[in-house]
Amino acid sequence: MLLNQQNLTNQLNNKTLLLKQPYQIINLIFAGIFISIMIYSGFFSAEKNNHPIDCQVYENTGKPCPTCGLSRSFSEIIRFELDKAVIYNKYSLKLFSFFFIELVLRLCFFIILYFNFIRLRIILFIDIIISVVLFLYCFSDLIFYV
Amino acid sequence: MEEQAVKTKAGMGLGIAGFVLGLVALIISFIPCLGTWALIPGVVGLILSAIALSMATKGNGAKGLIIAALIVSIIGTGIAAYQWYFWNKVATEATEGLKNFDDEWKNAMNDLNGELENLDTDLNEQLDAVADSLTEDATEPTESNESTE
Repeated sequence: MLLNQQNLTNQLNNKTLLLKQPYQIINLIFAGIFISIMIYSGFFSAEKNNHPIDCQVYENTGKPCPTCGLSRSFSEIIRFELDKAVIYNKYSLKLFSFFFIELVLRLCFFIILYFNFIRLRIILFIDIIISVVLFLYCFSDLIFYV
Repeated sequence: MEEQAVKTKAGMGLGIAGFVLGLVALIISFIPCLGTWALIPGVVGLILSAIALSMATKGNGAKGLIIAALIVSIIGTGIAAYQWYFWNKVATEATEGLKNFDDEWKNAMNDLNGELENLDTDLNEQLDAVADSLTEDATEPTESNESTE
């Protein structure tokens, strides 16, 4: 009886420690950021064109940059209008997929580490590799723009 | 030795905040529309990471994440600063170019006005000369007719 209680307490402590690990906290924060991006895109509409963030490049030079229309594209992607999204900005699908996949990865790694399926170092290694490759692929058109 | 091996959590909270802000700045800095806005999270992340590093150094805290936060913040801030400098330069050159064009246009218009006035004066003089010669021609035949009679 006492041993069982001790085991339960140890398990609870371990899970609390896991929750408090910096990696877990960072995962939750980034998941929150990516969810905020989805909510922002869903809240504002491409038809009404009421997004508060304007393009600095267009304001300064009068010419559109490669990411002009991205907010409207994201709003259309959230509403599953992929054809319209590509018209607003041709890179939007790649960039949105980066944020969406990262959101899924954050949640998956959080759950995997919480239930201790895989060790932290292995998860960190896999996470870094996948995130860097995904970033380089999705942002490849923008990285050397300037 | 055992005391040195046991790391504390000194600076960990600020290190996490610095890492998140630095990574956000790094991602945003590559988007041209938002590149200059990345300066804000980049600079804040840099400051938080620096404070966290000093706290970890004093309190024997783990420095791995904090150093990663510092590196990411520096890279993100650097790219955002370059974007800010580049687009400011483009905007300044575009404004100067427009101003130069405006001055040149005004000078050209002034020169054109001057030329048109000169042309007008010359034209008027030539018209007067032609009118005078026509008047002289009109009076000459009447004088010759009178002499023959």
